[in-house]
Amino acid sequence: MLKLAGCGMVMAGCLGTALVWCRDFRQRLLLLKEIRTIYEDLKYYISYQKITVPDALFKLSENRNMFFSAVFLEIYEEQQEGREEFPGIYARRLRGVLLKTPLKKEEGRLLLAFPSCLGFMEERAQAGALDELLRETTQRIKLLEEEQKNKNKMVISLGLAVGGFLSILLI
Amino acid sequence: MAKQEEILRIFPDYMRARWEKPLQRADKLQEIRMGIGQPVRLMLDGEERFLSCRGCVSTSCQDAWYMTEREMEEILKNVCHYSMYAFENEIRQGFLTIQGGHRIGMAGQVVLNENGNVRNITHIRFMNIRVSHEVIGAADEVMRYLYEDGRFVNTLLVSPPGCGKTTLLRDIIRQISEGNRYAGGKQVGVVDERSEIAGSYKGIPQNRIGMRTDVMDGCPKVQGMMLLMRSMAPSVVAVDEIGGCEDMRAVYQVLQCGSSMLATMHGNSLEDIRKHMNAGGTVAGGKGSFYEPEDFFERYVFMERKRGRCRVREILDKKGGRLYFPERMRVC
Repeated sequence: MLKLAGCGMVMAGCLGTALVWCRDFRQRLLLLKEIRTIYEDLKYYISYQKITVPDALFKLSENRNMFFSAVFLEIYEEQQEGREEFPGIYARRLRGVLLKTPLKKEEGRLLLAFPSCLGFMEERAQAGALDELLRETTQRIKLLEEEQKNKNKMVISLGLAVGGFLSILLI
Repeated sequence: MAKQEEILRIFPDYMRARWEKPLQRADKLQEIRMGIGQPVRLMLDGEERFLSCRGCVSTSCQDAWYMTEREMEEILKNVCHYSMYAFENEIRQGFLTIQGGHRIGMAGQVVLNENGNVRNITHIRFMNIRVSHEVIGAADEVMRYLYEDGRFVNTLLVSPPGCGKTTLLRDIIRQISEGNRYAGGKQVGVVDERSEIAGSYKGIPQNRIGMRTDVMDGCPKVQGMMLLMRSMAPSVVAVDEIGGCEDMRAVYQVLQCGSSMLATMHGNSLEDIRKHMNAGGTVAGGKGSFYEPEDFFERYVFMERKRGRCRVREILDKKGGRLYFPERMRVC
């Protein structure tokens, strides 16, 4: 009886690990889609409203459903204090938040690279400079979506198989 | 925010230590002039000084801090919050106003559009930071000459550049708006084409211009006056540096609407005023007829600069009669 219970727990553990992996994958995809939305909104704020980048981040922070809204508000507030330059504040604050996400390093870089494309005198040129980051983010989303289709089932099956295998070994 | 802090925020954080010493005398600091390959110069209480890399202020340029291209770019980015596109219009006009009402003038390579107008200034190589110093009470002595039976009379402040016209104008606006011993507070509309009067930053006046003052910031004078008349119903309209027939037509319309006018003009005499009023044409439709100052203004306040101080030289009435010939009242 105990053996059977132990096997059940091993199976549940393996399946759980596989599901966590799938959840992280889904979370990564959602965050990347959020980054894409951020860039699209930034483009709008730059080219139509012509507001400064810190002000645009403040506007983005008003969307409470967004994962990055709190950090954008912190960046805006710290920038208003004027003790440090914007790129420094942006990188430091965002790095801290990105560590808590399942995003991979190169995916986090998509957001961290934003200040490096600033410095254009015309709003159209500045908005255009965001296109490269937007394109990269969209490409990454496409890749992940395809990966998700193929990998999700495989990971769950693998989890179950490993669970089964370990159970046989234990018995 | 203290003036010292406002000026310090112009510079990137790694440069700030150099500015601590000169900014201890922020109340005496008038200008900071910078150019690539040139020493950083300060105008402190009317005298030129040089800033060294270690942050020392001296009369000699031997140890001076020579600005590099990168430093200049970083200052510009910092001033614009890394959003230069948002300040495109201001940069095109050659200046931008920052928090505290301080103005940063810029010069560099100008890009023209197909009509020959300035499209932008690229490669900004020179900067002039003009520190804003409002003088509260500058108009105390003048105010009594500017009212008749509790009504603010149409007034023109006249002087050559740099004699304190805008400083006096700003304090007159404040006193009209807040109310003074000669009349209660009145609604004032200010057309601040170059953000010099109110020193607005993001549309918020940084200088004290009174609680009943509406500001049309960055707007051309003629359009601004008409917009204010239509939308804000001011009792007094204030503008800086009028001149030419277009401006006078707008002033005429303001007077027709029953508002009083307060303006400044470059010049030194009534003859100068007449010339400036009629520059660029004559009265609409009138062949050979000209605008006369007395058709518009009832008081002329002439100013001058002597020994580094700005003073009111004399105040004339509508017909040119002297109302005030003082022991030279000091404005700033």
